[in-house]
Amino acid sequence: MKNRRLFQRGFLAFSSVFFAFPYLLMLLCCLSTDAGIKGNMLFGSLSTEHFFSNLSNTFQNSQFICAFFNSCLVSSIASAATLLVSSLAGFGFSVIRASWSKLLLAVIVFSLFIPEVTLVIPTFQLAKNMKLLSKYITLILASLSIPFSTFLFCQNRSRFPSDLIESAKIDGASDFCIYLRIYLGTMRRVCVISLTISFLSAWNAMLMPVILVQTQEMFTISIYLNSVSSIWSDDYAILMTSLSLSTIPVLLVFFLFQKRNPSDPGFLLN
Amino acid sequence: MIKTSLHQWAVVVICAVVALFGMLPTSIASETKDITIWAYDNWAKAAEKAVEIYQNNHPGSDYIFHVVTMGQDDMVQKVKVALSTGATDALPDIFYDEDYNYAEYILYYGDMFHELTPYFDLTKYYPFKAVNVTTDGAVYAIPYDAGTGVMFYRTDLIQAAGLTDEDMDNLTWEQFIKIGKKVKQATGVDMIIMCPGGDMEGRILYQSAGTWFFDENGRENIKDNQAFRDALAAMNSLYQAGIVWDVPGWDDYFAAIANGKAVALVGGSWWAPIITSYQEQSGLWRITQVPRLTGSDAYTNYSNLSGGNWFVIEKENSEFASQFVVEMFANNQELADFMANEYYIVPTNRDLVAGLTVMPHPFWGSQDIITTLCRYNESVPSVVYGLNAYEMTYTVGPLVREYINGKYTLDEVLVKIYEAAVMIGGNF
Amino acid sequence: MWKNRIHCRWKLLFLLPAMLTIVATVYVPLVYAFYLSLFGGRGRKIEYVGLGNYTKLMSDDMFLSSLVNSFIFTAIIVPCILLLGCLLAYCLWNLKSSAAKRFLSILYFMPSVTSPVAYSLFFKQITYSDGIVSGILKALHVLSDESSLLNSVAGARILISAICVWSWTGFYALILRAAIDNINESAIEAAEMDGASTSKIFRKIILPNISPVLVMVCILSSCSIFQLYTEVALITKGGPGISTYTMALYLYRKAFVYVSEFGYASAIGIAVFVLLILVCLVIIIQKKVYGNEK
Repeated sequence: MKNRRLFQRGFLAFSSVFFAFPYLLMLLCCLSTDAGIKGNMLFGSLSTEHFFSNLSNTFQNSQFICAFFNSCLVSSIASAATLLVSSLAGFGFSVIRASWSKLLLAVIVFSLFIPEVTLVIPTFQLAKNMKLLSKYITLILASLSIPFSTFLFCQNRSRFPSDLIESAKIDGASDFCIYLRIYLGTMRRVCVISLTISFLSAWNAMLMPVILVQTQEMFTISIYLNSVSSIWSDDYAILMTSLSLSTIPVLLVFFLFQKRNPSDPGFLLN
Repeated sequence: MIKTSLHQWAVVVICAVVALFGMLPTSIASETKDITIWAYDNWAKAAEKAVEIYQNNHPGSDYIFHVVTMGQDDMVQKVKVALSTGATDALPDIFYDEDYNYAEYILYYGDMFHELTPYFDLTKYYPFKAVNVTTDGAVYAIPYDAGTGVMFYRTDLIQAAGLTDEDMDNLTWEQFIKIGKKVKQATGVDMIIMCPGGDMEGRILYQSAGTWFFDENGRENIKDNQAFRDALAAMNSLYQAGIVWDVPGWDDYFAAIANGKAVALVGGSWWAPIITSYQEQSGLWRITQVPRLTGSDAYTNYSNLSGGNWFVIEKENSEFASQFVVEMFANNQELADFMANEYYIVPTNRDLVAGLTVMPHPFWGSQDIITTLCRYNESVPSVVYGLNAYEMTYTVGPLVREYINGKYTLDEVLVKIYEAAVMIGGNF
Repeated sequence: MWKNRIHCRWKLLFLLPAMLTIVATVYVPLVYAFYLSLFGGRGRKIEYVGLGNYTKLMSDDMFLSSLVNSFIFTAIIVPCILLLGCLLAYCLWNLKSSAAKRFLSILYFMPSVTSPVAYSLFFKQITYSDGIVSGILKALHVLSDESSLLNSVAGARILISAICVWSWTGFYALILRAAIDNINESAIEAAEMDGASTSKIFRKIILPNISPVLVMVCILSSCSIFQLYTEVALITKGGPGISTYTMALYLYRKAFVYVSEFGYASAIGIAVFVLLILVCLVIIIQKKVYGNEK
């Protein structure tokens, strides 16, 4: 009994180190200088003074600020749009009883298995032909994650029992009213999860946006970091600070989500 | 409940507004007197300096310049994507790119480039540069710099083995190996940094022998190519002699230089500013010619790696842009002096070379490397790079590495390279 | 009657935006990808070649090597994720303190939400020959002084696999924990009371009950491996030689780095899709067969 506990605790501790050490290392690098990181003298060169100078250098980099702002804008809109569209679809699937609705759902979920890699070139060609390259709308469309969100809403169908619909219909409410007032209310938790996951996936998206966005003013953070990776001599400490800063919004959103839904992974698998 | 629906309506309205907003063009309508220049690394600095000098010389000019600095991979990808759209609005007016990409740009997108033949005199340029900016007699780019093939070496480590700088001049690879073994024995340091995967050293060797993956017609040039065979054999012999500091990639070169892991580095002259950034090694580095292959009189000690040119896109201001590029990069002595002394980017225009003012650079001890680089440029063999240079490089590189690792014999790897060349080049 | 019909049509409207978007952003490009793959040629000079690109693919060394690499990565990464994920899920589930549970869940999940570009750049900096990780490994004598982690085929593959495991396990552990949650607690408690060891409980009770979820984890992680791009593009650029070259990297290079061959690159994309479906089918069929045997 004791051994079992010890083994489990030890394993969890070891895993914690494994998962946490890159973040700790990244933070340490932010406290250092370029010479310290390159010359392998990391622990000898830590100081808060360096941290503040790295921070100020990062904020002075207008491209980084612009990319950051673009990422926030695009991710927020993409996640809101995803929520809207997928909750509508989820409600639709809840109320439609016909058997072909299952086929439609299968079509939506199957699109999850189509690799992004396959879609990069045709999407690029289509956007190019429709003169939609480097436009916000293209970026937003490419950052949606509707299939997964719709899947989430359908999985959690049980939270929205059909007698609610019946009683609402008896009261004379139209379908859209039911959707707005009742469905979104009872599925609030799933809405939050969907918002979070689509925000994260929009923020981290790289393969499609890199091809679809060609003007520097429209870079998102992921595209900017990718473009920075091929510059000759870069100040590593400033780069590390940029990397850390770019992961903060994602972690913030994630923590906010955790606060509202503490330790409940059940949503994924009803 | 009402609060919830208000939230949702707000979301709907915002989405609709943004969708409309997103349909609007995001590019700022360009004023007619805007000139955009794209370049990377030190060549962006060249562009900035050129703009500065131009504005000093023409104070009344109402043209506004925008120099955009990007990573090289990023810039090349953007240029290619923009070219493939067929429209020039996503392209800059002027950009800098390597010799290797010239053929692709002009062959597939030639109508989008402004022809530069009437603007300057190509005969002033070294043949090995001139041959890679001309298509059917028309010139589409201004040759700018050459990545003159040189060998950088640590003179202090050479001297520790009892040798002098004269012993490093005009070597063959066999002599180089002998020296390498001696230095390794005396100092324990490997003689040369190499990364077969990037085929950097390979490309220097091929051009030093006057050969390339493809001939002038774009057909593969591997079969029955003795020079190519000798180049691969020479690279292998370096590894067999045990004098190579092998690195997996580009970044490791920096670390190797910084930590003194190797005595010599064979590369383009653009390594010079990188080496000089390691101030603590001042006085320890010298340059000399690339060692030559043995077996033919056609093999030389001179080569070229990743030189570049300036291109002008056919847009509203291409006339002015062409004049600007020619005035600054082809004819301006002040810019040439500045770039040569600051960044070791020596001109390839014989007139500019003749008028070059060289400042002392104590980093290289008593050696005047700028004049040396100019002298080397006179003797670089001319090679037409043509299409698919990078694809071939990234295919040949791994094959060369496997050959060196012993997976293939020389004959086997040559067959594989031949097959790759046919598949990549034959599609022309 | 007609009122019913209109009612039905009205309900369809709810599905419309989702269906439209998915068809427009996924299925139309998919069909267009197949159409593009029927054309060969480069740049703007394209010509119809029918299935010529696919026959060329089958004799293309680069593509075949990258396919082999994908299978090698799958063989390394998927078992690690399964093992690590199950153990983490089980240990977390067993944890009594809910604060610790929450903290650790967040910690393990963090890499899944971090941008791949960000952590790839970070790992690139710390694993090149003078990076911090190399320093640690050399101090432990795992790595000889002369080489770097990225210089050996095995080293580069293990590095990429480790990074993928680090990044994806948290997400799968979360899913597995939910699955374990659904198992009847009393069965496990009874077994523990009887003194069964952890591994026995695992094998006899937990694994059989969560096997559909295990299959799902296998499928999802295989999908991610076949599409691997960012990590290899930024860290190893294809690895020493072509040992970490992936199909996605080859596609990107063929389309946007070398002289653009959109037709051939689209063929690679379609090939990746078909292979993915095949792999998923194999996993599902294997599970059915294995399940039937039991």
